[in-house]
Amino acid sequence: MKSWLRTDTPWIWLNAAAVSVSLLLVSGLLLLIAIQGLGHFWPKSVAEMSYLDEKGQVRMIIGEIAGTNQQGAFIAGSADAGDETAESVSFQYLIKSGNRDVNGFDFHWVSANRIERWHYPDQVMVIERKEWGNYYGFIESINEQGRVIATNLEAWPVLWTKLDETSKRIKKIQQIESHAIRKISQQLEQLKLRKKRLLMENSTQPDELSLLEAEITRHEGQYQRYLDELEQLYPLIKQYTVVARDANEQRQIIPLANIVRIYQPNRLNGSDKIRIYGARLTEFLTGDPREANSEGGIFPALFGTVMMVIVMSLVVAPLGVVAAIYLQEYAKQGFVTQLIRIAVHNLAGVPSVVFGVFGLGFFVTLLGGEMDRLFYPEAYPVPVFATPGLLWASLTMAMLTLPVVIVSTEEGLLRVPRSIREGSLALGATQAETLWRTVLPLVSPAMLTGLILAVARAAGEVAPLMLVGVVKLAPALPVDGSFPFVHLERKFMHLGFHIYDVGFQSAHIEAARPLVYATALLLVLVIICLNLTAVCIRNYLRKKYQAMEE
Amino acid sequence: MNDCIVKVDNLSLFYGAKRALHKVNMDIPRQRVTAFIGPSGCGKSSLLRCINRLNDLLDDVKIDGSIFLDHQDIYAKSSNVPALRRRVGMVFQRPNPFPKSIYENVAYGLRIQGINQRKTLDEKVELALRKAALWDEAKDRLHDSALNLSSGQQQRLVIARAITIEPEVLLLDEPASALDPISTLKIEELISELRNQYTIIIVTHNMQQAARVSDVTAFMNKGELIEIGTTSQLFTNPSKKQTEDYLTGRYS
Repeated sequence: MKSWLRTDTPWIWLNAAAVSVSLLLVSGLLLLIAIQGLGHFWPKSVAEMSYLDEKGQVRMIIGEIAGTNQQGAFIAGSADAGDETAESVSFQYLIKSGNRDVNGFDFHWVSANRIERWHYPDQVMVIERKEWGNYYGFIESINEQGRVIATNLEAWPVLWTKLDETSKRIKKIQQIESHAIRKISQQLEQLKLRKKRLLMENSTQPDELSLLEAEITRHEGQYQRYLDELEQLYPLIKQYTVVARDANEQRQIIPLANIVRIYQPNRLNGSDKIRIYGARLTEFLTGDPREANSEGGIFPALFGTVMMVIVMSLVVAPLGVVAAIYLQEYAKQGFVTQLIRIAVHNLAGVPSVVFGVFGLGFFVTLLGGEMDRLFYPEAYPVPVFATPGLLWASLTMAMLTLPVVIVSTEEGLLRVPRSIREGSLALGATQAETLWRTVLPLVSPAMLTGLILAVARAAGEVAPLMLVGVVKLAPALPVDGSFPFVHLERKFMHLGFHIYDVGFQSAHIEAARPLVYATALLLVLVIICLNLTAVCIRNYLRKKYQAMEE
Repeated sequence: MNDCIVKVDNLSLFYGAKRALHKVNMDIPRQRVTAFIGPSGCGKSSLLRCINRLNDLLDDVKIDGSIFLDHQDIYAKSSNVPALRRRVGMVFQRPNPFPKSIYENVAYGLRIQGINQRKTLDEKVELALRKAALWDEAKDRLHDSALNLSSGQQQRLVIARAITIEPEVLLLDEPASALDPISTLKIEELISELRNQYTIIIVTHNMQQAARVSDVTAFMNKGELIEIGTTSQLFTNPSKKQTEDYLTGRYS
């Protein structure tokens, strides 16, 4: 034993164990969020069951089994909460029964030993709705303006055609609402601001003013025409409804316009399920959020995160590199330089929320306020830049990640052999020419390393963003078709904040939980993608400039 | 020593408090090969690096005295250092090609001067590579990375790089010390080829090398110039005892 301890073996085992534990932790984490997140989109079978409630009455319930609980601990909002008899402390099912508009909540805890009967009826259907969450029940009839046009089994083919018709009309409405009307109201807004500016400047050109006014009237007329068109379309999408009944034979009328997706889960075969899974996943990735973010897609958050990281990189990379060059190449190495260097290193340790407060105070209030005063006096009192937005969030993040870029660039500069610099200088190059032509290409892998770290940090940060530009629901993406196309003053959504919002600020916690996992998975994937891109570029550059490694 | 190109006048050099050169006076003849010999740390490399002001880069360097290149004081305030370095090329102890292609390495000095016409570059690169006896080996792989060359080839590439911009003086800082005997021989042959066109100053540890390639030899010790004279005279009939001791290996 003693001799064994003196060999390398125990040491190797110890090291290997440390690596294994780390690997296990990371892969366990990824696996957990992947399973929980991706499983959410799979259409589960829906059971109908009868059980005895605490008063001994038989009750029916339809829903998906969303989870189990062995402890039987007290769970708020559960059907038989408060009943702490021995039998409830056994095994409980969490049933996602939907129908929030009827029951008040989506989820029920049901003790296994209270369940009397349980089966999977073929005819049961799931309606994913734009409001009130899922509906579980059976189809009764399809109505057109209150008149029954098809019942029971004949209802389905009619439903498909009417649903198709309705969704086409909805698309048209959305087209008008989100493109035409938004565009025209933005233009109107700008025209009004220009008019205000002209009045403020006491312009002596009445022509210009009257031209503007004519333009405004023209736009207002156009706006009104769009509104009239919408007025005509709205009743059209409301004319068809589904009448459904739930487990307790209660009827419910659901307008087709309110339906996202409808299917009969127990009749689906494998390919149907895959199709629905794909459709749900696509909706998640490309759609807008619904119902206070607890349903629907997260595209605005995905877009906002990537956009913020890109703008931040564009700021932090040049700034950090230039600062590092000065510190390493031009500044006289001495006490002051060392002091600055230590300060920069320590900046990396400042809690991120402090940067958020600074960003709010300096960028938003001071810089933004000044910018508004100088460039947008006509907009007063509505702030343009003096309010949290994408630009300020990116700048705050750039400050937060600046030390990382400076430190790694400095390290890269240190590693460039002196002989290379001397070789260039001896040929009559100035120091700047030497830097640009020879040293910086060699340092580029190190710069990218810094940028990778910066991106990883910035993409995952939440706290400072809450102060400087992230919102729960942004009305518009920071990039769109109206001039100047990139709107850095806009507020934006962010995956990290979205996780926090959905997970902690949502009224429907159980419904939102899988979305938290899915969003977390997506955030990790986004960071991995951004990093992989940078790593690939870095490896290419490293290969190109192998001399460094010698 | 009639026509001298570099005149070192009462030059002292300090690295911080440490004195590396002490009142060196020296005339270096035009279009001859001058060798600096002496024990390690005697200041011969420091002196060499003073001639193209490469010591300027180091912090805490203090220089007294002056060096004249064609009667111009290179340490005068008005002196243009990059222009000086174009006139005084340098090759280092270890080959230091840039991580670029062979072609770009040789063209580097020209591009710095703003010469970018393909035709001029092609001509000058070929000429320099031919002079450095590397053209035959490199002509088919001009656009390969210079780092793929052997170290002997790299050193000749670096010499080619230095002579593309046609300097007047070429400083060689122990150019063969990191090379194998065959590459060393090639470098020495190259020096003999180049001696007719350039003033060459070479620092070497190898006394045979100094004897083989140089016309004039300077022996330095402890930061001072002990003796300078034609190579044949210095090696056969040194005037100072120190020199004789060093040459015969009795140096301690």
